This record gives sequence, C-alpha cells and structure tokens, in this order.
Amino acid sequence: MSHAVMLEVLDEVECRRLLAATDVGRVAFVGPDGFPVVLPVNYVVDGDLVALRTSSGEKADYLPLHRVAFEVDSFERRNESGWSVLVQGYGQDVTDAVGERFEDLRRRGVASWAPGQRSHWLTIDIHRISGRRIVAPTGEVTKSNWGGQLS
Amino acid sequence: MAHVGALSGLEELNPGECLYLLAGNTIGRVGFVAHGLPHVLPVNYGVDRDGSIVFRTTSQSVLAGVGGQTVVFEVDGYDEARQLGWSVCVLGTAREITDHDDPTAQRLRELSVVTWAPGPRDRWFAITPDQITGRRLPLQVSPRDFGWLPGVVG
Repeated sequence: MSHAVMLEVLDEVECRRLLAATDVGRVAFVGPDGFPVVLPVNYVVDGDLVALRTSSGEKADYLPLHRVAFEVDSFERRNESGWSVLVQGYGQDVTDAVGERFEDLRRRGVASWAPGQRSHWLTIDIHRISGRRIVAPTGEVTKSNWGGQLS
Repeated sequence: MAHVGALSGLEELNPGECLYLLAGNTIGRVGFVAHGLPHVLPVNYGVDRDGSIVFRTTSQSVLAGVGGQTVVFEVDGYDEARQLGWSVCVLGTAREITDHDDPTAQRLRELSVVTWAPGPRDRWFAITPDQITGRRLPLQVSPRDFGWLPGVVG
C-alpha cells in the first residue's frame, strides 16, 4: 500500500482497455474559425478506430481528413483519483465507405444517448494513444464517475 | 426563450446557466493545439466571477506551452435523475499568471485550485473568456438498457 499520491503513465494496453470500457468521450478538432472545439459524444472502438455517429454539422464538416483528438476520462471525487486517455489521429467520414469492415460497423451501430438523426459515420484512427492515472494513497481502484450533477 | 433544436432536442444554455455549471464543478478539460496536433487534457480548475478559468500545471506538461494561444475549456456532466446530458465550453486566450503582479492575476491566483495530481503544480494559467457556450440534451434510455456494451463493437 502506498502512502503518497502517484501519477502513473499508462502503457498502450491499459490505454486501449480503458478506451474500450467507456461509452462517452470528447472529440476535439479545429473548427471553422481556426479555434479548437471540444464536444462530448458516444462512441465505439473497432480495432484501430474510434467510431462515432453524428448529424451533419461541425463534426461532419471538420473531422474528416484533419488531425483530431479524442479523450476519455473518469474521476473519483471521494479519493481525488482518476485517469484519462488521449487518442490522436486522422478523422475520416465512412458514411459511404465501401468494404466489409465499414459495412459491418454501420450495421452494428453506435448506441447514442442523444435523440435526433445521426446520418454521418466518422472514425478516428488510433495513431497515438497515451494516458495517465492519478493513484490515490490507499491504492483504491477508481469507479466510473463521469462529470457532475446539474443541480 | 431557449433555442431548442427541432430534431435533436438540443437546447442552448444561457450565460447564467453556463456560469452556474462551471462554478459547480472542479474538473474540466483544456483543448488546445501543440506541435500541430489537437490535445485534450483534464485539469482541476477554479472559476472567477467573469468566467475566467484558472488551472495549474508543471513545466514538464505540454499544457505549460499554452500561453498566448486560443484554447477551449470544456466541462460536461450527466444528470441521471432528469435524464439530461450537458456540456459547457469556454473559448478564450490562455495566459500564464504565475509571476504576474497585475490585480487580475493576483485575484485569480487566490482562487482555490486544488490539484489532485502529485508534485508541485506551480505554473498558473488563466483562460480569459471570449465566448461561453453550453448545451443540454435530453437523453434517451441508457444504451445499457437494451443490452449494449459500452465501447466495444460486436
């Protein structure tokens, strides 16, 4: 048991495990005016791809063929610990991509919490993946604790 | 009257709601570009009354290079009771306030920014907001309710 807070650099295997075990992440890209945009999205992992569905709009316009980032994290307020994983790669619009892989992906779907039409399929290739974990002194494993409460 | 998207139910939050949500949380994410690549890194933060965001980091972090850049700061959450998801974004210019003696920098450094990560986080940065936006989404039933496994296809 450790008595000091530690910052652990996560290896690729652990980063991929955490990425696959979470359902909400945040995609970051450079928007129309040249400034960064960060938006929460539902996603799935398929091999070396992070896949998401979106309606036409900023994401569909500015992710494809650009360098983008994708982040997932989880924090535990109780013992001030948590982890984050950052993926960096190129965005691609695979809405009309041919090939078994993309056809399978589109058939399986990404369950979305948000209602509305999501006509575009976007992917981010996992070109780089890195992560950190803040380990609490007690060594307790953190539980999923996404975000805060509205009221 | 809040704008509500006809198809998605997405509702834009007013500035007061955005500030309320920013003030009610302590972890957010800084989105920025370094070495030509977008980055998103979580930070503990404090928020000033005008929506300025204050965070601390170390000289070893890529975050220490954001001074002078336009960055975005994001906070989000999920209100299970009301089946709502929300996110707030602060777009603004980051500046280092570690050694600045102007009254604003001094005031911002007095904000409580308790960092969870170990080691001295002695580089202080502030994001002065140009634009604060927020959105709220009514959520469908949890994907788990219909047997969907998070994250993994198949």
